[in-house]
Amino acid sequence: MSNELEFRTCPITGKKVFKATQNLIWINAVTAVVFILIGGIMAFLIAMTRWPAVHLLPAEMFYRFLTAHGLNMLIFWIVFFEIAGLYFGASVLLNSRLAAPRVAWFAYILMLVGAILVNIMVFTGKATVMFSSYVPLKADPIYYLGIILFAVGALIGCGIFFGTLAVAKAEKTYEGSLPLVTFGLSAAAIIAVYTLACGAIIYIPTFLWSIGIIENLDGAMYRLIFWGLGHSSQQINVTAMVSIWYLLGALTVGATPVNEKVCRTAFVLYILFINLAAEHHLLTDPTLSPAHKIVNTSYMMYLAVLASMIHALAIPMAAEVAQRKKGFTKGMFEWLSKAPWGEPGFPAMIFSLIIFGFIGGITGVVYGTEQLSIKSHNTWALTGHFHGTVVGGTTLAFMGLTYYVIPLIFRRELIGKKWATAQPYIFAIGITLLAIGMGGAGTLGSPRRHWDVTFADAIIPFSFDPAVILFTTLAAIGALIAVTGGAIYVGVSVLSVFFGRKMAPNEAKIL
Amino acid sequence: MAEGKDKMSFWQVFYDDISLLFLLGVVIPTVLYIIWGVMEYANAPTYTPPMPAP
Repeated sequence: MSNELEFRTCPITGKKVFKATQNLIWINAVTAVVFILIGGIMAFLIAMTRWPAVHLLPAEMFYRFLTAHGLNMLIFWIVFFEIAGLYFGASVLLNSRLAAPRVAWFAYILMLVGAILVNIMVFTGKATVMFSSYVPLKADPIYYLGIILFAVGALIGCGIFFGTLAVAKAEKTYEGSLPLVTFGLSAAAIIAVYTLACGAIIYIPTFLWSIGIIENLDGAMYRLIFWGLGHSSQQINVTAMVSIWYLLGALTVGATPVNEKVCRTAFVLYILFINLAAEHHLLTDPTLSPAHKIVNTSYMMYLAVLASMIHALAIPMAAEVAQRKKGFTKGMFEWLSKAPWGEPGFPAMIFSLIIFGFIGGITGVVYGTEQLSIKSHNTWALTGHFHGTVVGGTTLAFMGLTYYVIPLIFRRELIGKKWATAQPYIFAIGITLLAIGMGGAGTLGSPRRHWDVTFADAIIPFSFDPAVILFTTLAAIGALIAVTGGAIYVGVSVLSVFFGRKMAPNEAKIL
Repeated sequence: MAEGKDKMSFWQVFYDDISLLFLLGVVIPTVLYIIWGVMEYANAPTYTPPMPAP
């Protein structure tokens, strides 16, 4: 292993990039891309099965691949990328060495082994339990073990992040408060600790139940604690995504928030309240009292929604101010029309923000009310909601950042810059169509996690409003476009990381 | 530095204290969502089938 204190100075930002940090960011980010590739292939197969005109897979394979899609996309792709982001935010942005790189490698190995075990179990048909794996559905014990290993590894990764913050503070590598992006990533890491702890609390007894040591697991109790992991893991994504919006704003137009205190307040609201949104999944549970439901989803959760609205206004405002300072002051929108739309980062940030806010965010708040949750929760509309947040929002932001991480941290020139520039547009169009199609079909009653919405083999025939087929087709076309965008992302990033021209040590060029 | 810290507002001191934010970020959802939810499930009345007539 290389010297843990060996570093280079970035010719663009002037930041110290420690070799140990760089290697860990590299391995976590590359692994994340491998999992988005697996999840993306599954996405294509699932979409082509939901589309009645194609109906590609047999039922058993559909549910197997749906489980694999959920886990690879919602957990493995995003958490590996987030761990890379945490190391970047703590070590690179604070000019600090990473705390305990060897332990960070151990954490990576735990996560990788866990993810591989889970995938083996799912693909061999021993864990077709969907993402939520509700008991009494029982998977192979190795599946639960894989999730536990992954969660423990990610938890250690968060510990390395907090350790690095402590090292940076002790060694005085920065002055004053944490930079905003690092502060946002700290919020994500705090949310992650609670989330992963919930995962350990529920998956350890589930593992013991699967091997017969525990006889019974209460289904309601499982759901309560599972969603402390299942939904809160998406709140890590939201918080990391917003941090990346601020970073992309700075990288693309030199944006800095007009009022950083307000932005930090919004992150604090996330830390305090966003995890309570997990209650959405229990709104139709008759055992829980209205007080528990209303306090968690209405009173407290709206404080986190307020935070998202603050970010959604603060980031475009910061971009506008930065652009106006450059002289783009003609009319109301010259700052926007003269923005770097020809670079991948800016459209990725703006589209991510719009899709997250208008498709994912608004639907989330609407479906999160008790009355509408009863109507919508097991429909495809919910799937449309979280494809707006996690895919159109988080994944697109992560994709945009990748095009800057490759030259800045990995010191490789991008291969296929035109493809990289087109990719956010293609992906955003695809996900928008997909989410709208899912939302439309779901609002008309089309169920989620369903192999055949035409009910062709049903003993009692049933048919939805014909518009369901229209919306389902729209979603399938959107999925094809989004998968194309995803394939371009994987192609450009993998080719660039492995075969891109090595940049000279003092070469100050991003794109 | 100490003088500068004296002038820092309460909110800045609060926001800079990652340990405190960490504590609050874990305790609030644990109490409001997990513990309260577990108590409600644990106190839910259980159904006892009526005894069949002898």
